[in-house]
Amino acid sequence: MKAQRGVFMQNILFKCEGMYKSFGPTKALDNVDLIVKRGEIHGLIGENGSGKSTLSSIIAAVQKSDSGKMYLKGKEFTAGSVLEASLNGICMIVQEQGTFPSVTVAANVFVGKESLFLRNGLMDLKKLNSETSIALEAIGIKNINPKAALGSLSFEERKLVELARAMYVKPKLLIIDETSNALSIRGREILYNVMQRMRERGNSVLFISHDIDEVMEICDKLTVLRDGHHIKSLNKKEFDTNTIRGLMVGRTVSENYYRSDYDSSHQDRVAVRLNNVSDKMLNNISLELHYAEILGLGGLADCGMHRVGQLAFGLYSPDRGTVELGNNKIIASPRIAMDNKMAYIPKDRDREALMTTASIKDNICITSYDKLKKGIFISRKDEKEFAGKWSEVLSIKMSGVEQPIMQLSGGNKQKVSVAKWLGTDADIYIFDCPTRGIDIGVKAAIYKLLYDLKKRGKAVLMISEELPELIGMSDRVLILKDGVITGEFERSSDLTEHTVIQYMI
Amino acid sequence: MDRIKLNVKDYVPYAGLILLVVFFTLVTSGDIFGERNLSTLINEAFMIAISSSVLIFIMSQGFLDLSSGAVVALSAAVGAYAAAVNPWLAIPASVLVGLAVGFANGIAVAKFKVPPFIVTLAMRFLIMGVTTQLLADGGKRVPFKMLNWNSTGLRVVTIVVLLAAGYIVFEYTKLGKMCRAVGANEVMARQSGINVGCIKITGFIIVGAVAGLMGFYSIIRTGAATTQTGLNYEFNAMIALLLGGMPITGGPSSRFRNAVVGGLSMAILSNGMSVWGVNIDIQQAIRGIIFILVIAVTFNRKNIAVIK
Repeated sequence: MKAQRGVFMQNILFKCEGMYKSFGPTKALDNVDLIVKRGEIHGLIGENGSGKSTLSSIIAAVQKSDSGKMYLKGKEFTAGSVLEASLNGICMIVQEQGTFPSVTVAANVFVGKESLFLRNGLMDLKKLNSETSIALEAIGIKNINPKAALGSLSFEERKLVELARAMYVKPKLLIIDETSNALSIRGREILYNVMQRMRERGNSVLFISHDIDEVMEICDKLTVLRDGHHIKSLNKKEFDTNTIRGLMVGRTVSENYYRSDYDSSHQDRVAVRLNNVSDKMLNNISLELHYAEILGLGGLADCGMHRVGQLAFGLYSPDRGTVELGNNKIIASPRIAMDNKMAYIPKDRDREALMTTASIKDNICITSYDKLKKGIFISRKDEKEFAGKWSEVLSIKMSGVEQPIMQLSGGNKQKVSVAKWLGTDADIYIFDCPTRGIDIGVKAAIYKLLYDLKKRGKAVLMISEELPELIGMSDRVLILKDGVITGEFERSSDLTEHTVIQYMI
Repeated sequence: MDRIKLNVKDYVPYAGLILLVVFFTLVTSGDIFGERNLSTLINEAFMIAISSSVLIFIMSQGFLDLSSGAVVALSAAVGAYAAAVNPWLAIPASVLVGLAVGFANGIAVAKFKVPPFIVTLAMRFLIMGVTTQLLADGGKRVPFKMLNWNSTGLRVVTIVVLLAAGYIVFEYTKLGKMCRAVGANEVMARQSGINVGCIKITGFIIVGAVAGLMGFYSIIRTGAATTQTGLNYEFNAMIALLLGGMPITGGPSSRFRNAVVGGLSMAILSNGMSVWGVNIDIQQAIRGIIFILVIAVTFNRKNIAVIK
């Protein structure tokens, strides 16, 4: 039992002690303490499932802790709802979408505060819209129309609207949960500026991110969580990539988890070929993917690179041009792609890759029933063996192959998404953002797998929004901008992010 | 801990079945399972168990079919006309009518992308219109000797064969697994190489063809096709599956036992109310209330999928 300290140091804004939270048998938080000082940008970092999102959502009153005490400005603090928390000065920008797509930007910014604009029982829309413009400009956004439907904005713009909404109430503690992943360089600048200003005014930011480099750069202090435990809090001068990584995974991780060779040789045999492909997102794209090659495809999120992957797997047909296999056969449907030993691991795991309500077994077997069936029958035993085998190959952390997917962490879900395709014994792999939202341990495993695939003569198309992994893993990198290929780079030790980025923006 | 929780949930439908058996045994002083009622009970169970064990092939995809009761009536009517030519012709005629309607439903859903709820509702009215035209004289009698074809033995054999086939196909073949996959996540299904349209059409064809077959069984039992034939057929099947523990949104947790346990529960409920002497109109009201209650209790509101 911890006795409550009678006197708080003046500079502590927020503090929590002994936070517990469990979901069924899983302890998401186990006796976690956290202190955030005034004027501090405090990083919260940890692998998936470490409890950082749980902790931040409890602080913002999205959910309740099982036990533990929170103090705001020295006074014990409990909020029953998000609204109550925000009235007390605690606001959060959430990891996934926290906005309403079917109404206007203005309505989103002032949701819950509509009564401010009531006049004789009617909404003063003019005032609502002008006030929204002020709120947007206050954080440096000029090109978003308050009257636009939120759904018509890009993901990034929606995030910025959410940020404007949070900042309008002048929060004392702003919690940002993995928002920067989704933002471009421009968007990040806006976000960092807002954080700077919070600090200058003596307010605080709790910043949650996967990106160690980002956290090290912008945070004054950081706290590492692992498996629901508070591992260590570090001051700025103690920041060091390897130390932080080691604290996050609980063992030392070598600095470089990308491949170390610069041998970009591959077979001459073509696996997939795009000939002058155009559609609503692409403009005259031609490319060839070879066996034993890792071809990286990069650019900004809406440059059309994801579309290339979808076209290559036959999910859509191009308006002009052809998408074909090495033997000139047209890839007209996912079925044809699969029959020709192709595999596609999409970017959006929950929406496109997995049946979240089904078991690991069902998810892994779904692509391999033709292989598993004897006559027309598929036996439970064969399914279990098959799923067990491939879960083991990818070391999926699970209680058994019957465990539902939704109980798994992001990294383990991604492993299932990969396992279901490895099981088909494909020769051509399309990975769309293979390491999106997964922790370092799984990331390293995926990189190793990509390299193994290359060594085994498989063709790999890796679409990624992250330059370091494109440069670190690819034999060849293609950069797209606005649906056009703007740059091509051979694997080389001289290739830097700085060089590549100029072709993206 | 999770496993225990899951199991408890799995047993609720069985508990419900036992509760219904005990309740109706008590209120009817055992008459419901008495010798005199047995063939009626078997007949009730026959229709409901068979209809729910085929409806599972589309409900697991997250779809409903509101047209199958009307299909039973239409195929009974067409079967009765065919029987006038040759009694044996009634079987293929009934089944083919059902199959054709199922195919049409499937095409509208898979190719024209109309929600199944709308398609099958429209189809229901369309078919009811045709059936009423065919039976303008109030009904169509079948040759008398066809009544001899009907026997409890035939029904027992049919139900055993169809349930066994349904069980094997749903649980142990690709088709059953594909149906659940489409119900779980259609985008995923397509990206995993499943021909989603084909699975939808197949599902509706199965439901339609069996409804057609049920049309034939109903004319050999009653000796005539009337506009009342097939009344409540699809609703009984839907409520049965729900009572059996099937989520109305379909998906991976659908199991064939939902159809068997639910079918039995619904048959006992339905027949039990008659034996107990509940007024027919009140029976309808009770069905409606149960329908709403089961959904209110079981519907997973986090599941954003709208009922299709």
